[in-house]
Amino acid sequence: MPKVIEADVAIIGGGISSAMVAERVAEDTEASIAVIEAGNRIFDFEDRFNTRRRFLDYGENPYQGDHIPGHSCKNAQSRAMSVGGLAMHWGGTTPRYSPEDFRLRSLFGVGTDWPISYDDLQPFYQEAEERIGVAGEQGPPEYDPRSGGYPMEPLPTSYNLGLAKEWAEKSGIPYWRNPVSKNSRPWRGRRECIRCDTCSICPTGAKYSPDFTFRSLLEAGRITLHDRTMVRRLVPTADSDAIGMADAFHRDDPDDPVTIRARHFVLAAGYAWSSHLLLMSAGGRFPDGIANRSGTVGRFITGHRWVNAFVSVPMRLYPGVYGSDSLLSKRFQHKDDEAQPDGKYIRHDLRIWESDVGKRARLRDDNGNLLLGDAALNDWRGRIETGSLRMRGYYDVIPARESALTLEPNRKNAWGDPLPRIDFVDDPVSAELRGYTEAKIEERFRRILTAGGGAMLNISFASDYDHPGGGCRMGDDPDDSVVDAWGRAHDHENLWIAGAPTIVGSGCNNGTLTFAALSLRTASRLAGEL
Amino acid sequence: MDFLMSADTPNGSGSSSRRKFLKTSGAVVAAVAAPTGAAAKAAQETQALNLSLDLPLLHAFAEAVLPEEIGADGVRDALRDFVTWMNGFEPVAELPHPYLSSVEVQYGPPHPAPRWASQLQALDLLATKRHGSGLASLPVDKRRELIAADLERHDVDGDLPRPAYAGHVAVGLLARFYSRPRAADLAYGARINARACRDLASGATMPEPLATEAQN
Repeated sequence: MPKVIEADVAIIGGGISSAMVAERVAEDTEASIAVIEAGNRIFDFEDRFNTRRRFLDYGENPYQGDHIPGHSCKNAQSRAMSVGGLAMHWGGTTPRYSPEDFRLRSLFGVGTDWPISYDDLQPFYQEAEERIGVAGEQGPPEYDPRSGGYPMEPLPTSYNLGLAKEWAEKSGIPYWRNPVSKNSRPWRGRRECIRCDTCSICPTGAKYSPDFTFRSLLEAGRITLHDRTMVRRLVPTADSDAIGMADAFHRDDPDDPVTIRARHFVLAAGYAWSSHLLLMSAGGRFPDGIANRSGTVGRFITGHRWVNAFVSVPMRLYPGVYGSDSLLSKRFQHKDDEAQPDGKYIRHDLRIWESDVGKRARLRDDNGNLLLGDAALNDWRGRIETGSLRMRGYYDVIPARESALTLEPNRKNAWGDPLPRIDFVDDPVSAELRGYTEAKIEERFRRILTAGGGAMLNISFASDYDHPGGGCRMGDDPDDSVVDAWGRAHDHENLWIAGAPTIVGSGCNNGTLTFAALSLRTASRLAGEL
Repeated sequence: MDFLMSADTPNGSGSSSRRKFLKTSGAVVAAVAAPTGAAAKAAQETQALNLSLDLPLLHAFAEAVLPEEIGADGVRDALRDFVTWMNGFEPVAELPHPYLSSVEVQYGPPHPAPRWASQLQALDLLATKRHGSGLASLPVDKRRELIAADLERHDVDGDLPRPAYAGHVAVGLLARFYSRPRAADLAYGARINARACRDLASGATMPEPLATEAQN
């Protein structure tokens, strides 16, 4: 293993943001690119039918060793840390943020406007959709504006979801297919989806995951990939604020330091570990951490909460064919009197999936009687003349400055470094509106139920944030943000931060496509300087 | 890099040697399952798979637990699947880390077979002491009574867990049986074939009734 890694561009982190930056820079320039990832390299694509089978039969992790024992961020979204990151596991759901998400202060008088608009990001959304391969259906343009079509036509609507759409739209709320990074036809060397319905472990490669990009770049000789290499500290040069090197070690030889030297450093380690590394790099002229003159590194951690309900519907459904497919409505992300009827800030999406809740075999009937022999099968048959659906709404939460990642000095990893924790804190506006928002979403669920028929089986409300981001948010003001509108650190001209850490808010939609688009935008500017 | 061809067929290249061995053993089970009588066949399977379970006893047990309508062939098929499942089980396996949780990575339970084997033996002993003959000699309804009473003693609830987490062998057997796609097909009377990879368009139509398959 090398003791010195030298490249024009060193990308720290090996997830989807890293993959997007690496691919775009590799295409646009002749620069040498090193990708540094603390986790393992799990290039197991050829074995995924087997790992899928064991996942189904035994519930085993299909990506064994995709984490570093003892190296965790308290309250983070996932333990995943490997080449490919959380986008190995992801469901492949790829809605864009809405135009309103970028202008909350201007439109609604809450939160913070991004330094870029939806239109600024739109070409990179399109590029991200092309690179990872997105299949989708154009929604009503007023709620789902796009300058170009989806790269691929939508996957055929499943039988169950077709019935669900008819049922839900009796409420007058429009639904359309949620876009997905799953191939409806062969795309960039990956085959079309065959609906295995285990998207977290896709055995065919129809769902995008970053290992495909890294393997292609490695095969083309365009990157070097240094897995199991943990970066501990970014070090500025002695005579400028530029980052001169990074201190690291290989996990197989932790006592022997590895030095990384590059003209440009790109931090693409996700919202938690990017902030962590910057805070860990405190010292000398930067006592509060690298890129942290504003004091906002690790702050404004953002995300959205959900309201989730399972409902019984008056139609026979056949769960199990393509349960990961879903319907989406952005009707209530728009600014108008129906979406915000009381003039209060409330924005959320609506989603619907098929479900088998209440429709599974069981051991006891409603009276507690044991069901053995034919009794269990007959009991099951007696409950499937109606179907079940899952409804969900993600609602926007404005993060407080105190919504933060901090280092826990007394909780350390195996190498003695303090580990991070995240505490989610709502901005007072969102804290005050939380109960109102959840009640309003439940009311809208009931509106759909009343129109289509059916009954609520149960409803639940999230406590923490889903699809988190932030910690290195972008902005025009160096006193209140970490990076500029292109992802370049205000404080260090050759340090770039890509993807999730840079977002200002999480809106009401899954974040991965936006992280990818932001990373491509950062890469486009970086490439211009190489 | 073109990934189109490499995913066409399942490939065991990355599995542990233990898993490969077990997969081979499973194939042996299928091969030896000749129609020579359930008990003899069950004994062969038990030996081949080196499990501690008494398979003839398990067969008698399964006849009382599984739906009668699946018939003798269905019971044999369910048992073969159950035993193969047990033989492929990896104790304390690494589990997927839960979404929206930063807890330390979790590992699965130990092998359930020894516990289940002792429960089966206890049921057999109980049958002998209470009725003068072992479980397999009792009529199905008597076996079911004993098993139901045992389940009540184990305080089982109504949900079927993942098989490995079943505290009782009856729950384990039923959990495995009802987790298989063919159980849902039986319940719905339709060829749903849940979790099977299929061509892209086929999921867009209502599943065909099972009767159509039988006629074909």
